Amino acid sequence: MDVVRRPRERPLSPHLQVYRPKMTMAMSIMHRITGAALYVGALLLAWWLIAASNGPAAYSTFQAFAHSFAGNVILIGYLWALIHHMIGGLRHFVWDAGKGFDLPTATAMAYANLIVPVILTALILFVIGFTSGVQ
Amino acid sequence: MMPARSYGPTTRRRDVNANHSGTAHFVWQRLTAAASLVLVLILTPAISNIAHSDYEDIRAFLARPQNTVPLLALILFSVFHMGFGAQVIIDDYVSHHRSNRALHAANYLFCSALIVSCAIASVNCPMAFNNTRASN
Repeated sequence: MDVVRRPRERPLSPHLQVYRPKMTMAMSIMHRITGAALYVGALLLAWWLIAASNGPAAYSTFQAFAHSFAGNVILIGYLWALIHHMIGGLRHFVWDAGKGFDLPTATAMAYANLIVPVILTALILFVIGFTSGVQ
Repeated sequence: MMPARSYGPTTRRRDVNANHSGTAHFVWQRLTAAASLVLVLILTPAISNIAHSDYEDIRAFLARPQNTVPLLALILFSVFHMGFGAQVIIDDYVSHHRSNRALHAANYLFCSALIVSCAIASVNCPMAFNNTRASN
């Protein structure tokens, strides 16, 4: 006789809704969200390269996008996400070295992960002369 | 064919762990991250310089190996890095077997296509640039 074996019901561990939000938790989530966004954003880099190799017409299509308002928002968001993910990654290197696990340090690094990328993004935009742009 | 599977409290889903090898995955995730970090720092001044450049400047930029070699290396390492990251995300959220496998395949194909197309595009650039210059 055939007996269909089914997986036994397992107890579920507590999920997100039972935890009080913490900065470390928020930055952990942001690391994953920015990573996922950069996955999609890699298409922009590919588009830029392919457009440049295809010729002036293809490249001007890319430039039209890059110089549009939506293009500005997306590209600045891309830059910020990249830097946020990079700083978040530096935090992981610190943890990989076995350091920074105590609560004050971990929280301080989480706040730095929130603030430093915003400053660096603004700095880069300032340096490349975004405010006095060509358009 | 799906392999025969037994169920029980301690049975682990053997086929949903990232690459069946957590340590290698962990190490490669960090190696590709470190490599990308170094390359991005190397490229930041050059990329900042061409932020407002026109088409000809971009072609000239891409015609120089000292730009395209680190750029392509960055694309290679960072696409591997994001492919590894996507594997973890897929295994975290998609437990349905076939969806899980399909997403892993899609991730593999997407990352491969991205690397190949970027490589061909950047190799294509200098040649086309030199041709234009020669015809002038």
